[in-house]
Amino acid sequence: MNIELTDLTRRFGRNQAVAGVTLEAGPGVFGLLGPNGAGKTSLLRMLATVIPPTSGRMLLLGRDPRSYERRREIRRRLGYLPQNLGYYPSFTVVEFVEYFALLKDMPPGRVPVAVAAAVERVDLGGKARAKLRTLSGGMLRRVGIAQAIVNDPELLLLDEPTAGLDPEQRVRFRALLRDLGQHATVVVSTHLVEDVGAACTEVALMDAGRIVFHGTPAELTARGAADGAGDSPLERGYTATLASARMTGTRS
Amino acid sequence: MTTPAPRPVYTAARPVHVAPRLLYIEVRRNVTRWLLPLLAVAFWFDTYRTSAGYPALWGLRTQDLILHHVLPDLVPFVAAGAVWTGAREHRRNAADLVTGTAWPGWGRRVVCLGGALGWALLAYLGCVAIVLVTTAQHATWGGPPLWPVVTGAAEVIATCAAGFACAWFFPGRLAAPLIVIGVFLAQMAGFSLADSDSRLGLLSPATHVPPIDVGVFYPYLPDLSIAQTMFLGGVAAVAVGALGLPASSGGRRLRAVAAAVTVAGLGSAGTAAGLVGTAYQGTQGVVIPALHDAASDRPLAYSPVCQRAGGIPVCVQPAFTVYLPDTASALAPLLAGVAGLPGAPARLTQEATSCVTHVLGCTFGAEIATSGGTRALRFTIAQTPGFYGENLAAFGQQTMAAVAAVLVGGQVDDAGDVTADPAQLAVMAALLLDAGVPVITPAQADADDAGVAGPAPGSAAYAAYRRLAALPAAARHAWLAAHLAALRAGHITVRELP
Repeated sequence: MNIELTDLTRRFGRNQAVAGVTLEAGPGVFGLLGPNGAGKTSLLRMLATVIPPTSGRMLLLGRDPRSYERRREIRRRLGYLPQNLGYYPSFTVVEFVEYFALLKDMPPGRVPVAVAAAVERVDLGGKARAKLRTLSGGMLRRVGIAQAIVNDPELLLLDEPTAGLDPEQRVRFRALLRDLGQHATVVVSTHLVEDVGAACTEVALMDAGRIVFHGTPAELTARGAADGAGDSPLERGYTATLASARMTGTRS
Repeated sequence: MTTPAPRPVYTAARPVHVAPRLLYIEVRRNVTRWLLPLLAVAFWFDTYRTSAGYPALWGLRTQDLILHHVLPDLVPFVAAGAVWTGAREHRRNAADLVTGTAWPGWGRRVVCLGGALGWALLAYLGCVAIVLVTTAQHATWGGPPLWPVVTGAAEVIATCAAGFACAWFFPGRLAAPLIVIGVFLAQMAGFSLADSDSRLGLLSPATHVPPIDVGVFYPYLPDLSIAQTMFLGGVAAVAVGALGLPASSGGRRLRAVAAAVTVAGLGSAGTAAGLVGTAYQGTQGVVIPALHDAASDRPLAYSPVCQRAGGIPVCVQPAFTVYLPDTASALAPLLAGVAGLPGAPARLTQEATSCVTHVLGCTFGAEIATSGGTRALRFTIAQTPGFYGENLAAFGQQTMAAVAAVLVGGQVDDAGDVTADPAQLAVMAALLLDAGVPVITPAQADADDAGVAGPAPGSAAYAAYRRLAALPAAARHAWLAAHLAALRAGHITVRELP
C-alpha cells in the first residue's frame, strides 16, 4: 500500500479539519470527493507532508514521514499540486518545472529530458519558453500538473487539478490520470464527480473531516439509484451518500 | 496529454550538484536585475560625478568613493531587491508547493537569497571596477587598497541577507517599504555617528572618512576595515543562520548547523563591537590594538618629484605629481621674495597629513626643520587644489602664510592659525601682501572672508605692516637679511621695523 492512514486527525485551533480518517490506497487513481470544508485539502496537505497530523498514524510509500530523512525520501517520490498554485510570474514554463524537478533532488543531467517530457504531457510544448505571467488560468493549472509529474512520482496528489481546464483538456487530463495510475497512487481531490467517474478506480467521500464512503465509483453510483439528487448517476450517488451520512451523524 | 513513458528510476542528486542550476535560475529571474538601471543613474549622478573632483589617489578614491558614495547609493536598492525576494514564497502563496519538495527549506532559502545577492554583488563590483579603472587612468603612484573593497562587499552581503531574512520572517505588505526605510535610516545613523564620539559608530563603514593621503605615505591601515568586515560578516551570518532555525528548515543536523552559524555570527559581530571599543585615533588612522600590525606604522619608500619655485625646490610625493606644477606656481611669488634670506627654507617638502578624522576638517601643518644640513619646510597638502571646492589660490595662500609665518619665527597650528608677536605678524603680512596674498583684518578672518589675517587696523603692528609693505622689495629684502635672526628670536619690536 502506498498510503496507510490510521485514525488520522488534524486540528487548526478549535477547528477539527480531519477527524479520524483511516484509509489505505495502492496504485491507481483515487478520487477524493466532498463538499467545501469537508477536510479534503487538509488531508491532501498532510499526505504531501506539508503539515503534520495532530494525531494518528500515517505511512506513505511504506515510510513514516515523522522522521526527516524518511520525509525527504517520500518527497522525492511525491508530486503535489496544491489547490492554489503559487507560481513565480517571471519564470518560464520550462524554468518553473525544472526548478521543482531540482528541488525534488532529480539528477541535473536527467532534468532537461524529464522537464521536456512533463511539459509535453500537459500539451504546453508550444509555450515552453513563455513567462508564467503570460499564461491563462487553465495553462497555469497545466504547468502545476507538469511540475507535479516531472519526477514521475509514486504518489501524486492533485487538489482540484481540472479547475480552469477546458473540456478538451479535461478529457486529455483524465487519460493522463489513468496512465499515471497504472504504476502510481494518484489522489485527486475534486468537486467534479464526472472526473471521478471517468478516471478513478477508487473513490472516498469526505464530510466534516470524516470518510463517509470508500469504494468504487460504481458502488457510489449504486447508492443513488433510489433517492439521490443530481444530473448524472454518480452525482445522485454522491448526494444520497452525503445525505445519508449527515442523517446518521445527526442521529448519533 | 500523452501516454507516460516507463517510470525512470533515479538516485537522489546531492544538493551540491543541484545547487548551481537552482542558483542560475534564481539569479536569472531575480527582481534585483530590474533595479540596475536606477542604480546606474544613482552611480553616475553621485559617485562618478564626484570622482571627477577627487584627486587620483588610490587610497582616497577607493575608501571614500566606495564606502561613502557607492554603498549609500547601492544599499537601499540591494535591500529592496532582497526584501522582495525574501517575501516571494508568502506573496506568491507558494509555501505549500515548495515545502512539499525534498530540498531542505534552509538550502532553498539560501539559494533564493543567492539570486538577489548575485545581482547585488555584480552591481557593487561593477561600480568598484569603474572607480578603480577611472583612478588607474590618472593615478601616478601606488595601487588600490583591497580592504575597503572587502568591507564594502561585506556590507552588501549583510544588507542583502538581513533584508531577505526580515522579509521571510515578516512577509507582510508593509515589510518591503519598512525595511528599505530602516536601511536608509541605519545609514543616516551611521553618518550621524561619524560626527559623534561614539566608538560604536566606527562599526559602520559610513563613519570613517580618510585623510587625503591615506595609503600614500604610510601603508593603508586595515584595523578598522577588519573590525567592520567582522561585524558585517557577523550580521550576514546571523541572518543566514536564522533562516535555518525554523522547523521547516530541515533535519536536526542541518538546524544545528544553522544554529552554529547564527551563534558564530553573533560572536563575530560582538567581537567586532568589543574591538572598536578599544580603538583610538592614531596618526595614520584608527588603531585597534588587537588587530594592529606594527609594520603599518613604517613609512612607505618613495622618490619625491620636485620643481623649482622662486629658486627653491618644491617636492611632492609621486602620487601628487599632477599637482606639482600648480603647487609650485602658487608658492613661487613668496618663495622668490624670501629666497636667500638667512633661515629661509632651502627646500619645500610634502609630508603626510597628521589629521585623519575628517577630510573637511583636515587642515594645514608646516614647520621648518633641518634635514641633512638643509633647512626644509615640510608642508602638507590636506586640501589639494580643486578638491572639495578648494581652489588653487586658497591652497597657495594657505601654504604661503605658513611659509611666511615660520620664516619670521611664528608658529602654525593644526588649524592653520598663526601665532606670532606683533612685529613678526607685521613682517609676515607685508611679505604676503607683496606676494599677492590678500591680507585681511582679524574681524574679516572671523567672518571667514578669503585671505590671511594680518594685524588689527589702528594697532601699531598694522601701521608697521603698511609701512613695510610700502617699501621697495629690494629694501625690504635687505632689511630682512640683516634682522631676520633677531626677528625670529623675538628681539625686534614693532617700532624698530622700517
